[in-house]
Amino acid sequence: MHFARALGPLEMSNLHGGEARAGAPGWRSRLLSALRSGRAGTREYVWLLALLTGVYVLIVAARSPDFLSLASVLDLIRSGAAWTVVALGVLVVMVSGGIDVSFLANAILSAYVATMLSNVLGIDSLAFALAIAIGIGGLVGIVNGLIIYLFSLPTLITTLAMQGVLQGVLMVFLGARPITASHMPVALRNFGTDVLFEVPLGPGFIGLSVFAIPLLIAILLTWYLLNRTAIGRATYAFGSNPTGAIRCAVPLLQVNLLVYSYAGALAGLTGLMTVSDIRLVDPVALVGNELFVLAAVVIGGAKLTGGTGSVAGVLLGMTLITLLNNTLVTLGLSASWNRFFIGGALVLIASISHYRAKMRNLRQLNFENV
Amino acid sequence: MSLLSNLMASPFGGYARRLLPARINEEFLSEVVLYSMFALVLLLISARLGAAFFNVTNLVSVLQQTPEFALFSLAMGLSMISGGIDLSVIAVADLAGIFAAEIMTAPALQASLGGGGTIALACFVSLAAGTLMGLFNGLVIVRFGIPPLLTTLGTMMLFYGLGSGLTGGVGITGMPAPFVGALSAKIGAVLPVSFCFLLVVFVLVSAYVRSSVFGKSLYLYGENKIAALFTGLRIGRTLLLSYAVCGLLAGTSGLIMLARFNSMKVGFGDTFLLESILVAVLSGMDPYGGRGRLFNVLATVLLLQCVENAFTIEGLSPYAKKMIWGGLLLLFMATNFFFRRIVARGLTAAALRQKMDGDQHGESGKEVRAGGR
Repeated sequence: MHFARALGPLEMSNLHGGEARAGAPGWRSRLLSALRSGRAGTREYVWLLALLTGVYVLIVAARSPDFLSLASVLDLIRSGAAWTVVALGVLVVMVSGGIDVSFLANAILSAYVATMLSNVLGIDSLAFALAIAIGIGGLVGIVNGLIIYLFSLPTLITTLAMQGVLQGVLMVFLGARPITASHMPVALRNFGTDVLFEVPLGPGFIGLSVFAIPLLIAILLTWYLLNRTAIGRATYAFGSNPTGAIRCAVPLLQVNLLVYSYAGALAGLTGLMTVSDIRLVDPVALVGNELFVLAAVVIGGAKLTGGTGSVAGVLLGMTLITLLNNTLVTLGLSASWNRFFIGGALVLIASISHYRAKMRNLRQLNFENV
Repeated sequence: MSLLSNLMASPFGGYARRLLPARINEEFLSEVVLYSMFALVLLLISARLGAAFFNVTNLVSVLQQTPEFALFSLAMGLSMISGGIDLSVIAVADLAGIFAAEIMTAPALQASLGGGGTIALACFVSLAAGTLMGLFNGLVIVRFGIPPLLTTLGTMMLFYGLGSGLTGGVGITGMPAPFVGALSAKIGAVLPVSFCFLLVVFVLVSAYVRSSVFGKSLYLYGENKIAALFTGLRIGRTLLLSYAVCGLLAGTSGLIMLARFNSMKVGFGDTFLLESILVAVLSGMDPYGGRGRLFNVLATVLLLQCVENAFTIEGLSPYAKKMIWGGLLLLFMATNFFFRRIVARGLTAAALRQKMDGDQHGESGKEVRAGGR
């Protein structure tokens, strides 16, 4: 489509190189030329995102000075932890070049079954509920992965259909009705309110929620999986070039199963965290908020075409989204503008990152995403 | 798997192949599957419900409920031809409907333009807004090279957020009576005008896509993006136009929804998203692009509407419906995959065999002739 334009950036970047030798350019022109030429890698992108988040925090702090405090950090961790856990699972799926929209239906199904089984069997233990929720989530993920692998179907449509099936199973076969706090196991209720340590603040105390532990585990595990294991590197390889990866004998079935079951297991964990946080197991809650998680992962630098994305990016993307969700009110906008700004940020950031990739590909005479 | 494929492929290899249509292809096959499913479902419904379903009032109500759903599905199918997808159709329809509702309920405009003028202005604005939103989608996709899935995911949030920000998430009600009444108008007291309008739209869009340069290049782009690029077709414009038409169709659908509910609110018709993807896939549009006939979408919509109506008579919950749709979608895509693979393999093998046979005959014939001379 843009043959003539394809040559443009090549000469532009040469020009920029020449200028750089003549006199040291400032950081601004370096950043701009990096963006324009598509040379900026994941690391620069993450820094850019951090900068953006920092600017937003400063804007909010200018409006309400007491925003810059330990309390808001602790609050951010508490309200963002569950969503970040599932976002890390979605990141792994996106790195492999797929997309998952069934994760929240999966989350609430796993959480519901875990709570129900705890009640029916009379086992009031957090470990049991966690094992059930993560196990069921992982199983659903395996089904997803198998379907996608066996029939080579588009991942979006498969997982969208799966979302309907999961919700139907929950509502029709399990006959789900909301489980209120008084009927929830004590261990789960405590899981939502326990704190690791407390600091005195004003009239009361504020603490670091126990959610920080699963969050930290999920972060470390995902980072290790993606960056330090052979299957993690295979996931990146498959995402960035499926044909090439298949010819390099990347174990396709293993990658598919791992990716979707990992996302499913993290979804199960998220489900349990959310229900203990709001102290209500509502079968129709959660589903419909998938877009926020997807937006966070994409804003964090993952591409739908696969092969890119980092844990740090997801953390920053989630921070930005949670901040936008929580603080738009302090900027004088009602909460109904949330989706507008998140959608706008999503389109803008995706434009930048995909435009860079497009230009880079064009220069290498690769017409994949023109 | 290999046993199954051998079994399935063997009829195409031998003399049985002479009994099959000369040009059996995937589209034909999925059409056969679709229309036999149509017949089967109608048979099932008539066996189970009988006159409770097959009476004039009920059938007319099925036709009357179809338009907005059919327009969404048409837009979805159109976007799938080029290998894309348009997830923002519902949000576009809602936002366009909100614009129309705001205009129609504005007393100042009513006073200056009169009843008819306001309705015309509202319709124009919402159609234009739908087209512009579609153009925006297309522009982002073409200019920045973002995959359509991601673009429309983002714009879906964007348009939804704009609508909820403008209205504060509250519904707008109280449309003028002539506008609401237009939907229930009927030709000869039976055939709803809205369905006739839908039929015209379908015939126009599917004929245009089937026979114009625009449509051909859209199919070509869906089949093989890089090859389409190198043929020098104006792919950018084609894609822009296709997404603009998607937006226009969604805007029209928004107007129809506004007239049906006599109110508009963000999030109306969210369930249509899964259903319209289901319809597009069931009707044989390939989500990877390049295959499928748009007119089949109408048949599929009618089929689904009949099933939905039967479900309502049976009293199924919306979640049960959602589950059945999801399961059906998975099942159909899986069977389609098998059919395609098996038919393609069987035909390729048969064609190869025939070609080899022909070559042998031809060569031996040459030898005979040579010997004769």
